[in-house]
Amino acid sequence: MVADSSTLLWVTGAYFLLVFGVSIWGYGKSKTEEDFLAAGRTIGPWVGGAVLAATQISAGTFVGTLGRYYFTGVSWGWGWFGVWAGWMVSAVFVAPKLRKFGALTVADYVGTRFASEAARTLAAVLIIVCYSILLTAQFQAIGEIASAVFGITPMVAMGLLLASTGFYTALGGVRSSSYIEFVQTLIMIMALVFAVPVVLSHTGGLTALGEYVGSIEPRVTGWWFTWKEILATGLAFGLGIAAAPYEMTRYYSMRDVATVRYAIGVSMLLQVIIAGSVLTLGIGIRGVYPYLPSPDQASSIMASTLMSPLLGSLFVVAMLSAIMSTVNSILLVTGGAFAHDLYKRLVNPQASQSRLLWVNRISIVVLGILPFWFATMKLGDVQAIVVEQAKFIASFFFVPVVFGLNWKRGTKQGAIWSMVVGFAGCLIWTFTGQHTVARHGVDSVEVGVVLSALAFVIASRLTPPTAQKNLAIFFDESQDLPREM
Amino acid sequence: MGFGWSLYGFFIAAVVWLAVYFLWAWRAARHDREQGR
Repeated sequence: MVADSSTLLWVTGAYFLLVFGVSIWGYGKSKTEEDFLAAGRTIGPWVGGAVLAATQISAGTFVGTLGRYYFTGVSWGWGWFGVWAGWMVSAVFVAPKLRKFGALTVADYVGTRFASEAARTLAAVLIIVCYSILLTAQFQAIGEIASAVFGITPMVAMGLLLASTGFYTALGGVRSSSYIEFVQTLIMIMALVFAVPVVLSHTGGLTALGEYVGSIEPRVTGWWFTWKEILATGLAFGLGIAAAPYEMTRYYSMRDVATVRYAIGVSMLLQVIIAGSVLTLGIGIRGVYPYLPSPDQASSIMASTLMSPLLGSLFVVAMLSAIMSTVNSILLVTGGAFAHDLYKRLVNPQASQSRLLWVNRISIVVLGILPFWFATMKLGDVQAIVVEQAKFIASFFFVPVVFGLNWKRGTKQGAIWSMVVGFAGCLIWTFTGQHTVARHGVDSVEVGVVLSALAFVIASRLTPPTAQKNLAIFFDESQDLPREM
Repeated sequence: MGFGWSLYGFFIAAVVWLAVYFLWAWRAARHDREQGR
């Protein structure tokens, strides 16, 4: 893909040296489980914001999303407002209360808020299952990208991804991962922002680009999608973001509540830069190469034909960064869910800090190997797996998190039923072939969330309230949150 | 036919969105400080 392979090797080599250097530094700093899973609560707003952005941006943004802009144009970009609405919901109704609680995992919240070990265990198991599926998609994606970029087999590429990301995640935990993700976000921003003027220079500028691609297909510069389609897509993304476990666990690692709010703002600022750049690049490549056989080829064609060897190499490393940061965040959540919520609670409650640290590390490696094995069997299309698992997470987790943190009357039976019914509703709607917006107008995530909410409210109303000592942690009036907006 | 509101509106809306968000975050932090939290 990138013509000058020696430049690519140097840039990639420097990147990996930096990543491993930071992870070794993090290893020396992690003495307790709190250090490993919450970075000792030391992360500030800029690093925190970059972490949240890096976790959300994946290889799909560089390939699938860019290709979507190439083919359908500007209007797909409005779906980002659904993502940012999800962040707003999290900033107002979820993140401050979670940070005040200051636990280590998302299942910690479920167990404490609803005073139920069964609800905690169910949440941990569902998170591990859904995120293992998401990890499978990430492994498949790296296999496809690496075989196109480096010319190596998907199996070798997946093995290298697991070895490198598993190594630095298991070594330094959230502390070093956070600083690595800060660097990865900077790389992604640089690659995208530098690429925009290069591509526009080939099109004669923005105005000329608009006139040219508009003459080929007017909907590319106008409205390809109806507002209903944009709203449905935005809602699906937003519901997934508002209660995404791999973002929620990162709130615990930040200094205080104000830091969490600012970090979400920084994350949205970085996402605006990334979204605007990817959008401009997608349409820009349409102006240079209007008739590519597949929209997904747009980014690789751009890196290999329009960019200098150095910028092309930076773009490839940015794609690597996007996928590694997502894999890293998933591994931290699944490893933590197993070690902290299953092993420590159910198997060995007396485990020492040192033992818990090692169980976390071993869990990360083992829970990375299982999806690797699934990925070798190629269970489905990468983009479809990513989107579907996000719908399942939102279906079983949005209500227990957002309702649970803001409605005192929610009970453990409500939480358990909402998770079971939300998951089952999404599953049934998906596998009875009724999951596409275009056909029925109702998406599986909307079915899952509505059923989950009904189950939560009905079961909670029919059962005794949660103990006051558990509610006080999240609803103590003396520590109530500001209401202005 | 060039770019219209679908492109320029996206960027304007994003900037307004961020401005409103940071204003809220700043006011919330000030409220917390005043309450001694």
